[in-house]
Amino acid sequence: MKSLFKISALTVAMTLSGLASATAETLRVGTEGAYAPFNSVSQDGAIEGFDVDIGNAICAVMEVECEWSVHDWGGIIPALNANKFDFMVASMAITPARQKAVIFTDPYYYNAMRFVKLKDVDLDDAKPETLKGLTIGAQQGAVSAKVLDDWFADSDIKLFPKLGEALMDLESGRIDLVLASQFAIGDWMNDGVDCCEFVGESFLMDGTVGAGIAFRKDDAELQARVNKALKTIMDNGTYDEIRKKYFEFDIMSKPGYVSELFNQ
Amino acid sequence: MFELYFGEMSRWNDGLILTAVMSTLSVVIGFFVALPIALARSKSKGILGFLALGYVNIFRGVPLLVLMFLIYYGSGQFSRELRGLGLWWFFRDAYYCGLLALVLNTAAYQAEIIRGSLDTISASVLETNAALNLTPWTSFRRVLLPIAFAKALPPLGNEYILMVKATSLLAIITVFDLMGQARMIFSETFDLRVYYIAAAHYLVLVLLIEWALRRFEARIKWMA
Repeated sequence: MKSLFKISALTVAMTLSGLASATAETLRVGTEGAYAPFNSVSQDGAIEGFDVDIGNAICAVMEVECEWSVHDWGGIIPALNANKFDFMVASMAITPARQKAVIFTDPYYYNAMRFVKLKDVDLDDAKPETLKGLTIGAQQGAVSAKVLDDWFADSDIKLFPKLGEALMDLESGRIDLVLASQFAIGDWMNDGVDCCEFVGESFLMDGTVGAGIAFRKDDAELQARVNKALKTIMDNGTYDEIRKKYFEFDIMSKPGYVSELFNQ
Repeated sequence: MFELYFGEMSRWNDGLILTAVMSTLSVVIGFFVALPIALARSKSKGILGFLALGYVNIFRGVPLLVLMFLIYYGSGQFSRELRGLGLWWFFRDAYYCGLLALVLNTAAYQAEIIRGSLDTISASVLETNAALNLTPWTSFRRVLLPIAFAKALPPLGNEYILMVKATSLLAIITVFDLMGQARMIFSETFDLRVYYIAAAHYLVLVLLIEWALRRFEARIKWMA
């Protein structure tokens, strides 16, 4: 009888604790974790960066618990659609192709790309005709890879699984240039590499409208909630506070498109 | 499904050719690297045997993925020194780095396969060679090696098929084999059926190799 009482007490306790945790909703947030300063994994294993701070600020406004996880860039959209996490804050540029697979919030910043070259490579400008015959690296599946494919057919294009690997190959001189997010490249150069420098103007791929937070297509309700929270942090100054932590300049003004730059 | 194949035909073909060429080259070159190692493992009790054992232990112990990463990105860290040594032309090229990693890896496995078959050759064969007054080199080249090769062919074929699939690791060092091309097409279409097409390619390639190996085995079976 005593043990029966114990068991029922245990059951009640477990039910109550279940209820308690259900009141504080938990959302799972996915990111790449290899795209500093936006998202990266620190040496002690913490997931950090601009994306993470924005995501956490949104979660705070929505009054939910957020649990972060990192996923390979190449499989991040399938991971979202396979319900490995609920939404993605990973600096993903909003493109028509991606919009066929997922839905996005309004843009939360404009991630322009820019060429970085070896100092030994003699170039004043980065245009399809000036980069003819040179080897350019980019991250596989990123918008910069698409731009290279569409506009730089006369250059030799090498695609890397992660941006860091492309930059490693640039530093060692295997490739002449890398096309990637100017922020990500800037962050890498701030870490004390002196092999390389920016060349040409920064630009956006045609059809991209900035980086957005992504959701499964059938999750429009969550998209609306997060979009509202995003607007709140932009209006109440939280967004600017976070931005200042990482960038000294405005990242919400829109750069020019590729076609405007290269079609003359 | 069909548009994923026919629409991207040139990429699939590039990938298939690269996979076939890299795996074949690595297995063939690996075989010749493996021969002296197998011989040292089988016959030498001294320093050579010890070194051969060390080679086998190291390259069977280090995962191919790690080896590829170390050779490609590792050599990139020493690009200045390698330029000075005049070796950079080799390490600059992702194909050479990839091939080197594949060869080092498969040579370790093949050496153990060949050593195994050398060890199974009965003592009477050696006595016969001695009775015929064959030099050790002739005895090895004309008698022991053919027998060992015929005995080792089934496991060597197995190793070949494993290498076909191991080449998919090349994509991490920017060499786009079948799997690399599949991943690239996938990253543009987000269509999982891409991987069915990749699997079908591998299956056809492996069946072809199996068919060729069976014919070859039938021909040299009498030696084993």
